[in-house]
Formats: sequence, C-alpha cells, structure tokens
Amino acid sequence: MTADLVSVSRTGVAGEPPEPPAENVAAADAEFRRDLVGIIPSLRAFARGLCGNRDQADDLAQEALAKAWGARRTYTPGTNFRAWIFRILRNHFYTTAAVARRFTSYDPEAAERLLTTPPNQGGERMLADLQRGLRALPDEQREALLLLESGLQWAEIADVAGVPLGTVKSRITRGRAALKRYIEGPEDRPSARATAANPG
Amino acid sequence: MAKDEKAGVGRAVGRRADDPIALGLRKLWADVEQEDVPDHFLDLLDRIDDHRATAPSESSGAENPAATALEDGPRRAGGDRL
Repeated sequence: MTADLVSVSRTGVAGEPPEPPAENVAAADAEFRRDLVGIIPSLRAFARGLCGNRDQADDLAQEALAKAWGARRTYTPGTNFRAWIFRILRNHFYTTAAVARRFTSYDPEAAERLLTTPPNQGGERMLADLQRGLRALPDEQREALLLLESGLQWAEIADVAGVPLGTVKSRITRGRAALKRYIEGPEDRPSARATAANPG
Repeated sequence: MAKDEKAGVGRAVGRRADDPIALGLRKLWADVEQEDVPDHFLDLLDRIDDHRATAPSESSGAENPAATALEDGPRRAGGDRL
C-alpha cells in the first residue's frame, strides 16, 4: 500500500510522469547546453575520423548536436555524456553512410586526392599514412580505434557501438594490425611512392 | 601457445605511451579538437536558444524542439543551407 502511494505520488495520475517545475527544466536545459558546447571539439574530432572529410564531418557533428538536443530528455544526468553523444553521432553516421552507399561507390583514387598537401617531414608523412590507412579500414574498426584514443574505456566503446566487449577488442586488434601493415608496407604507401620517385 | 597468443592480444590492444600508431591517432584527434569551433556550430545552438525562448510549451516534451528549431538543417560557414 505504501509502495502504491509512493508510486502514485511520483508518477501522478494514470501513470503519467509529473511535469517538473519550469525552473528545473530551464536549469537542466542550460546545463545540457553547456555540455553540448563543451563536447563540440570532441564531436568534430570523432566525426572527422569517421568521415575523413572536414565538411562532411562538420555536417555530421551538427546533426549529432541537433539530435542530442532533441533527445535531451532521454539522457540521464550523471551518466557518461561523452559516450551518449558519440553513440548518437555514430548511429547517424551509419544511417547516412548506408544511404550514401546506395548511390555511390568507394573510389580509392578520389579518396587519395582529398589529401592535397604532400607531407614533407617524417612525422607529417607518418600521420598522412596513418590517415590514409585509417580511411582504408572497415568503419567498425576505424570507429573502435578512434574511440579508444579519444579516452573511452573498452566497455564504454562497447556501449557506444552496441556490441560485446570481445567484439570491441577484436576490432581494435585487427584495426591496429591493419594500420601497422599499411604504414610499414611500402607498396601501399602513397608517400613512400613519392619518396621513391623523389628521394631528395 | 594459445595462452601466449591471448596474452599477446591483450598487450596489443592496450594503450602504450610509445606506440606510434596510438600516438598518431591521438595527435590526429587532438589536432581537430584544438581547432577553433566554426561559427555555424554556435549559430546552431543560438537557434536552439531562440526556440527555447519563444516556445514555452517545450518543457512538456510534447514536441521535438530540435526538429522545429533546426528544420532548416545544419549550415556551413557562410550561412549556406545544406
């Protein structure tokens, strides 16, 4: 009986949740907005890593912001906001990517032309190779590697991607191995070809 | 053998401070994070704020404010509609 009374007082009549006071809603929205502003740089970085293209990545990040705002009532304060909004972004990425793939096919030569600045230093060259290698990975492996280096723990990555922990570990292991092969394999490296053609 | 392989996998997927791939990925991530946030991102949030100010019924959750406030869609720098 007591439990029923508590239940009624918390949920209101007919099981509907009581409407929170307007000032509480405003304060929660303001806090949520601050969190959104703070996460923008990380969202852009994640989106850039997934897309490999600045404009598309920024579009993706903005869509994620808008979706996050629309879904803010579903976010539980105190839980991992970073993982929550990353999940929104990646879900939108896969949705739009699936649509895009119906109309376009991957063109590795076109993708390579996107990198217009020839790297001329060792570190820059390595990063350029890493970017190209990252782009050549399956989306799921690229996503897992990016999320790991963004600071998320394996379990959080599993939560974002909606897969078991073992799958995350497998994707990271395979992704890292593929990147290593890409960077070390001279036949696959555009910058290595450039170096061979112009050793000076 | 299988045990060694398993242990090797565990090491391979761990974060290592001196691992060039991990360092490179972190640098790529950090480089983007350190970029200035384009104005159109903040414009997007301003439009959300504008909607909040003009739609008091939003607090009921009966509508999707983002869908209304952002019905024009995200914008690129220069205000171009996508």
